[in-house]
Amino acid sequence: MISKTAAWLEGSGPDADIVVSSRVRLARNVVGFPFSHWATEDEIKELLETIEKAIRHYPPSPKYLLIRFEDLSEIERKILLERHLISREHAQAKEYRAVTISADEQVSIMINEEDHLRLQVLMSGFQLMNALDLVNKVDDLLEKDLEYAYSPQFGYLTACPTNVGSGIRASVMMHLPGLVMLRQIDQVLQAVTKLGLTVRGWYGEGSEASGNLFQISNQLTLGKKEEEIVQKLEKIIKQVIEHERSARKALLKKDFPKIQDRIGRAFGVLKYAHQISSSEAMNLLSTLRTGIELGVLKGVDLKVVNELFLLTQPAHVQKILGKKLSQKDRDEKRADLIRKMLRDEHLE
Amino acid sequence: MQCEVCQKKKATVHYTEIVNNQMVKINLCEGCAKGKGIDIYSKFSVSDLLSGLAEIEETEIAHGTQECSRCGMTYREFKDIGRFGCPECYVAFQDFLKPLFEAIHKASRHVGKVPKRWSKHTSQETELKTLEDELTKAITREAFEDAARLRDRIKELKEAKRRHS
Repeated sequence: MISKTAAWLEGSGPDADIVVSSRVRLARNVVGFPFSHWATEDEIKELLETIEKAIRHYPPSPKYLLIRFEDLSEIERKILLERHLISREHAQAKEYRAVTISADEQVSIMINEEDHLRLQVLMSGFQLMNALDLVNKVDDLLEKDLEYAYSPQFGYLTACPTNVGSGIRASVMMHLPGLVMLRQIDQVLQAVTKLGLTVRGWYGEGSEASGNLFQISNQLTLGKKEEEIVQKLEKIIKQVIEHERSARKALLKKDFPKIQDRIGRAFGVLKYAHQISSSEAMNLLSTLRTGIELGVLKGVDLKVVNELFLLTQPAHVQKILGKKLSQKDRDEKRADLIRKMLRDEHLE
Repeated sequence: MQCEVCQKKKATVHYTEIVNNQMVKINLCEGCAKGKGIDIYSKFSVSDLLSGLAEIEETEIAHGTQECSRCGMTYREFKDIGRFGCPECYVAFQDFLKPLFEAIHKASRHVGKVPKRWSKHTSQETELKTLEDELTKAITREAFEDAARLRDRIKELKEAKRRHS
């Protein structure tokens, strides 16, 4: 898995120059069992077996992995987190937790997370409706074997009252360097929040925005149809895309040499540095990405930048090297990795 | 954006609190947030939300010990943890849930996707009701052949329902 890029980081799909990825997840629980945090060890074990059986019966794709967390090292669990296949909370749990991942990493099913099941579809670019269609299909298959906890009044019953009803969380990961550089980002994000959406960083809940990446998602799950929730989010995201596009245009017009200088410097540091932290790498990679998106930086492939976003995360660096490393060692190895990957990339 | 407490570092924690029904927003740096005892990684707290709604709090004090018969979680525990114990808790605490969901979601009724099992269930219920109405009508107009056919169909459906439950 580690040797290749996940499909959602291909840098393809509609509006991929601004929307890195689209994600839709559904929270589901099985009738007759307490929620994961309140269940006994026996109950959670039985749940895991019940859900695994259903997944083997109706897998999300012809080729898929079903991984139990007890078979994974801490670094391997962090890799799944860095690849956005499991959540932070899920990564911290150990026994009787599992995840199913389709071969292209578009579909993942978290088992015994906050909810018994979290079905997730992650796609490259801006394609929320396609993600919703696919996650619904996976859901339809699994409900043939699993009886979901559901009530006609409250809908799908979830551990946390903030997910009840549709259990849906739709989100997009946006790269917004234009709005950040023009200092319009707070204004835009505040407006987005007022419209009932949530803004988070690269790693979702509780994480800081770094690398000019922002995750925007719906907050309300009850009282609206899934399609309506996704359409509303889409509408607002389209406006943010427009704002980012005009910010980029304005930036190019305002001070082209400065932008060019910034991007060139980022490329230089990444190509020749011998020590680099993950947050510095992320910020410089964001600048590189900006250069490609603006058409200022030619000769560097967006896919390489996306790949580096992932491979330079702490757990990925350690896994590639095959051992646990101190932060200092990690920073050196990260720089080695980046130099190696950018060796053949030259500015035109 | 600068931290509103130390006025030095960049504010990365945007904390929202509900005080006397008023939403108060504070922008803090990570250090000052920790100093104020705000755990930036903590989950959205249901109790924070509830404490802003006085009328709920009154009922809640009276019923805090109400317990879910399936998993044993009390309403007080649900409030503290912010998560239900099991799906049955939704039945046990249903009196409090409508105002809670109105506060969180501005709605208290699901209108989205229905699991196949339930859509079948719902349509069977409707069919049963229609058939029973037709049976009454058939008897009134003394159409006994129709009535017998309807009676058999109703029996079938009821048995299927019993088997399912």
